[in-house]
Amino acid sequence: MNAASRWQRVRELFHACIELDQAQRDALLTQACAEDSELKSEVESLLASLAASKTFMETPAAAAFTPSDEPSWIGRTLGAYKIISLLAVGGMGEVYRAIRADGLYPQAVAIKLIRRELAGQVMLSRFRAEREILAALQHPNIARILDAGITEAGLPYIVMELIEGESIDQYCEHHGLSVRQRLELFIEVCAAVHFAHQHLTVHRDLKPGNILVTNDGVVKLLDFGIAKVLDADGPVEALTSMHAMTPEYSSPEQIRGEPITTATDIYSLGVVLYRLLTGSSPYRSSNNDPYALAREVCDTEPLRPSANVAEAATYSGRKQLAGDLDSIVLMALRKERDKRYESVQQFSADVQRYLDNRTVTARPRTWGYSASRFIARNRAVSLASLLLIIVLVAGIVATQRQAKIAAAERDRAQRHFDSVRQLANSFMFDMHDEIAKLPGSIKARQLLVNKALTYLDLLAKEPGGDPALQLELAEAYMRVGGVQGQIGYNNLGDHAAALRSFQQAIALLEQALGRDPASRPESIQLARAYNLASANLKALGRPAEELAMTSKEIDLMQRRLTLFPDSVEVLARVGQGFYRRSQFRSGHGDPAGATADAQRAVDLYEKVVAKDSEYKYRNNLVFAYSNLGEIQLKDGAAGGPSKGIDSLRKALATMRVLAADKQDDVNAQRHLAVTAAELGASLLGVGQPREGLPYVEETLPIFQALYDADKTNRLARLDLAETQENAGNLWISLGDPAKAVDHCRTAVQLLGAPPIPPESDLEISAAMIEAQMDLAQAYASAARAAGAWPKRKEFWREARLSASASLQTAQTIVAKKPEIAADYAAFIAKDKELLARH
Amino acid sequence: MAVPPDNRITQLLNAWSKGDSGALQDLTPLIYDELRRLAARQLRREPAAQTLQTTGLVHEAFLRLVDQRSPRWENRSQFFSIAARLMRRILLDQARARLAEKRGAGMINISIDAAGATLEGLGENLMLGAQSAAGAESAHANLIGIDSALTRLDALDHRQAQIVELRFFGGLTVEETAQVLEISNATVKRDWMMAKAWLARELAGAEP
Repeated sequence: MNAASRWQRVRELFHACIELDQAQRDALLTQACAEDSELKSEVESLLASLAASKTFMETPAAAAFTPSDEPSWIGRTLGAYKIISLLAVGGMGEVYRAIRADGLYPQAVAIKLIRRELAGQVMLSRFRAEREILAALQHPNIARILDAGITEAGLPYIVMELIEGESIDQYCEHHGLSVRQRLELFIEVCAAVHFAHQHLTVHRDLKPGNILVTNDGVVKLLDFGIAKVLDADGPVEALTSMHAMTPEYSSPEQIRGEPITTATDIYSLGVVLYRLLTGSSPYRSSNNDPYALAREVCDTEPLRPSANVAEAATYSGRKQLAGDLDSIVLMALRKERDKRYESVQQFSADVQRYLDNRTVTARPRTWGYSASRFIARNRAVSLASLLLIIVLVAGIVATQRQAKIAAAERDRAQRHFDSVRQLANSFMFDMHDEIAKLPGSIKARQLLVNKALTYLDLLAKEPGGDPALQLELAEAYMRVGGVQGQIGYNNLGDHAAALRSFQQAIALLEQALGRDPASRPESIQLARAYNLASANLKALGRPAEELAMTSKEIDLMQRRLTLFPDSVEVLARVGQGFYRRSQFRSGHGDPAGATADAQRAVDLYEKVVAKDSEYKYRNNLVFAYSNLGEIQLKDGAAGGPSKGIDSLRKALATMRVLAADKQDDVNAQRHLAVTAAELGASLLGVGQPREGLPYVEETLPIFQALYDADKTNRLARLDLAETQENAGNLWISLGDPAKAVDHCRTAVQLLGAPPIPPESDLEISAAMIEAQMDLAQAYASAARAAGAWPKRKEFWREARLSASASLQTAQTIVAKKPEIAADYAAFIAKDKELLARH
Repeated sequence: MAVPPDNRITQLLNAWSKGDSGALQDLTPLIYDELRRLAARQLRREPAAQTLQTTGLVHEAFLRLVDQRSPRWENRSQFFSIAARLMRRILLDQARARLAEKRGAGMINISIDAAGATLEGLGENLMLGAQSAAGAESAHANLIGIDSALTRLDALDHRQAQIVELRFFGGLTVEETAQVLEISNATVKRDWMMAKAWLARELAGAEP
């Protein structure tokens, strides 16, 4: 028997023996090991060992480890406070009792020392700002935050009002509160939570341990907003993980790590109420298996409270919960955020309605149900009047039916208004703080956008249309879309999501504006929405839709123009639409269409400027002419080039007048130089270098001055270098290679100058490759022009050096960023060709 | 507070379950770091009366690292088997470090006899380790002994060794262990008893 089969035999016998008593074991082993005494003694030895080691390894290995000793905080001072004793150790950290070290006043306070792991990198400034907000959260049922700070070791701590009391569930048990009393207490809790929500603070960790009741019966909520303080700049995960440890009171979205909203607190309050009413958890899994519990929170519908009251509860207790209370609690415990109560106030109002024997909203209204509530409300009346009431109820319900429609309309409008206002607040506060100030706060922005979308989608789902609200909603979608992906602004770069938001805005606007949208002032807004949608379609690479969207914009604004032919704003919008469509068509192989659109843009801007000589309009007219010129130069049609040059001349003429008024305006001066330089380069391009030269020479001092003013400005550096390069090319054409070499060398030096290493900036490196290539060309023409051999040889050597420098720059970039190899292939090929020729 | 991207772990687990053994290599350090961080956190911060809760650690690591939106709940088994192996490593490192600390930095070469443990006392030491420094010390020494005996058991019976790893080092229940190994609860219980008996005998130096 080999070792493996021997082991198997031992195992079989061992397994068999442990099911048997001693006598049976002996009998089995004697029989099975008749000819193998070694086998018998092996099994017996193992059985003996088992008997001798009952507790062996029954405690997991980790139990052998105890925490290392940390120096105790007791007796030390923290800020103005002296720590007296340890009160509790919780999920967030330790809580100490402390008093003012200076004895200014004798009341004890609670100091919560946050675990380092939860604190993340708390930014002191943000932490202070949040703490101010929380200090302002003054409510008789919310434990006040008195102070907060950071220990020398960098741990955040929070000084709070010290509350002496019991957790709400224990209080209810110990004082034997009735269901009604429990509900009344719960309504007080809700009032405090609602107050905090109105101040844009979500608790995120509501549980009985954080809801204390003092000996005087006053409810006090602890830790309000602490999560927010810690999250001021910290990772959202810290909170998610914190809750993952005790998922019982967490909402599904918390467990899934999704954004936290007021609905999260509503859910937790639902769990708290569940426990107050039933004495047990809504979940079957125990807290000892957080994984199963977490899964249940996300996936499994909780038992109805009435089906889950503690064994000891009487039938009447069960009956009391069945129906309305079941519905109320389960409404708060919906897995989907938007199916829960919309606010804590609504939740508590429903509890109040139950207490008042009025119809609760958590349950679908039916005739019979309404009637039963009506009767319950009037329980005191005699049987005789009850009969009368039943007759009356029928009539009342019937007449109420008509009235209900109007009331529902009003309710819905109110809900719209509230939610939009909530959304607006969220944008005003959170977005302003989180986004406008902090660079790189993408996570916070994403969170807000999701929050906003939750509200918006909820509202947009509501049937029926109040146009005013639709417009308000559209505006909100536009803002959300802007955060997601408004081209040219700092955005999240989620163009698909941005597109959806803008499309939502478009749908709402089209619906709100009715059959003749162009006649409404909001059509400008709709045009903007088309415009932004098309920009995102462009980013997504969907040209056909992009074109269609731009055309819609143009059509809408043209129709509006027929109604308001003198409106500068409309004229400018149509002009801008044509301008953009011309660029699209030019880039998509439609030169004729592009030229026509560009021409219309120019005509419209001419009209605009004739009516309003404001700088921005005149500036746009320059752009329109330049655009027309570029498109005409590209257009293969007869006369294109000369027409193009004419347009560029018009652009420059307009720009000269404009820049003359703006001597001190850097942007205006730069625009002038760019316009002139483009004309110069284009003249070279159509074979008229001598005409082009003065324009390029005119711009050199302007670009030089702009560059001298700020040598770190990369745009100024690029402008100057490219113009030097253009000048070099002009001089090659004009047969003065010495001047060409000078200009090109200046360009190369500029691009290579510190502080920007060329390889770290793609645009600069691309310019560098070209400049080195042009320098090689300049040397090559110098060599051709030079008569004497040693001079010639030297120039060829320089040309080769420059061409290989260009090649090397290109190859370095490609090696660093292989994904752009294709873009640089043409450069590299040209460099190799240059090298081969020289 | 860098939490590795959820999806990455989930993807790796999925890849591993589809037979991509390279995924395991990528997965291990991610889980290891998280477990070690969590363990260190517990050891630094829990009040003195408590000891490390392996079950808590492994579950918490799972909740933190694996995308809970993923419908592939079987990831849990894969995760736990890796986590248990890693917990073994972490706890052994801890035990060696603690012993080195106590004896001054130096060679650690403790046999079970040197630690003066009886078989019965072994379990007790592990349980009561929290309460006396001497007890903790021998418990740490015992862990090192168990670990090397377990390596020998692995050569004889891989599945029994796995069961010990999951239960003793990973802190999993019988039911969870059965799920991970896809065997019955009864088999887990019986093999667990045999492994325990075998290891206890090994540690007592009672080779037949």
